[in-house]
Amino acid sequence: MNINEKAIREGRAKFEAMLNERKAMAFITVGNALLNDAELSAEYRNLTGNTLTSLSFGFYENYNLKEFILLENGKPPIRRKLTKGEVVGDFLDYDGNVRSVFKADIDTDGGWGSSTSYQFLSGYKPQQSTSIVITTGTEYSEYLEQELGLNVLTDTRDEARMNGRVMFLNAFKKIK
Amino acid sequence: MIAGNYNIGDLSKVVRDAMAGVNANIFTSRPETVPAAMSDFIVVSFPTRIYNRLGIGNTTCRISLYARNKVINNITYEDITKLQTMQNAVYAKLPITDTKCLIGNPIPVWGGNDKLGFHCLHIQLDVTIK
Repeated sequence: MNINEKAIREGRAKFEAMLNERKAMAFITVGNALLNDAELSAEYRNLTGNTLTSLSFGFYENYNLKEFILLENGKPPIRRKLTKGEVVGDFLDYDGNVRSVFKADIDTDGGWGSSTSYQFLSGYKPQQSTSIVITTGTEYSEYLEQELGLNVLTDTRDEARMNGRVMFLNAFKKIK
Repeated sequence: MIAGNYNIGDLSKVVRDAMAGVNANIFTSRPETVPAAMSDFIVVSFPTRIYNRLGIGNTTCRISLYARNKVINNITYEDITKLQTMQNAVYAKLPITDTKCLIGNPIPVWGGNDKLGFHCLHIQLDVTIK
């Protein structure tokens, strides 16, 4: 390898490292923006708070989960997920409303939502090598959307489809 | 995850397994003595507190790289080349993604001379525990 070739290889490696770092930062900025969007566009009431506090995204590089980022709203869930048939009554829910009685219709693993989110994202294989994947960690999220017609993540998915590219380009710090 | 209920053995195993290709000598604390033929080794530890976030926890993992000093003309030198090679090999293994934990975001911290014939480089990593 002559001196020029060595310099070109080193320069290219340095450039790629810089590019990858900035791409990662841009993806994570977009992920955080979409998490905020999911929080603001939530139409469901929070009982345990697990759906809201398990909103999270994974950042993947080379198909491997590199970052796991949860929504930071400063308030933890009040308890683990309810399992099917479990009845709770006369308590203050996550939103601060008094609930007289509530019976859970959907079965869950009875754990914390954020734990389920991590479990899903750590085992997920994205379609693209570098990507972000947003999820919630509650089994009843789909029930909330399909049966009750309340938005959980669908609006955020649409937002990402419409504006994701622009959000990414705005978040990408140009290399000068 | 419940703080105090997590399994440090499982976490250590995940990191040890991931580091298996980096170095054959992996310990969980600095051995008081090592064979004269051992020129380098790795220590994996979780030296700080765990932050309990209910569903998950956060802590720090420290991977300490030790390289035996070089002695030239009765002057003891730090083997920087060896430490850099080991550092690159560790970085190539990151992030460590497992169903139990996610380990990444390396920050190197100079460890200096351990007065036992080795110089040390610590790599601190963010750990998310399920």
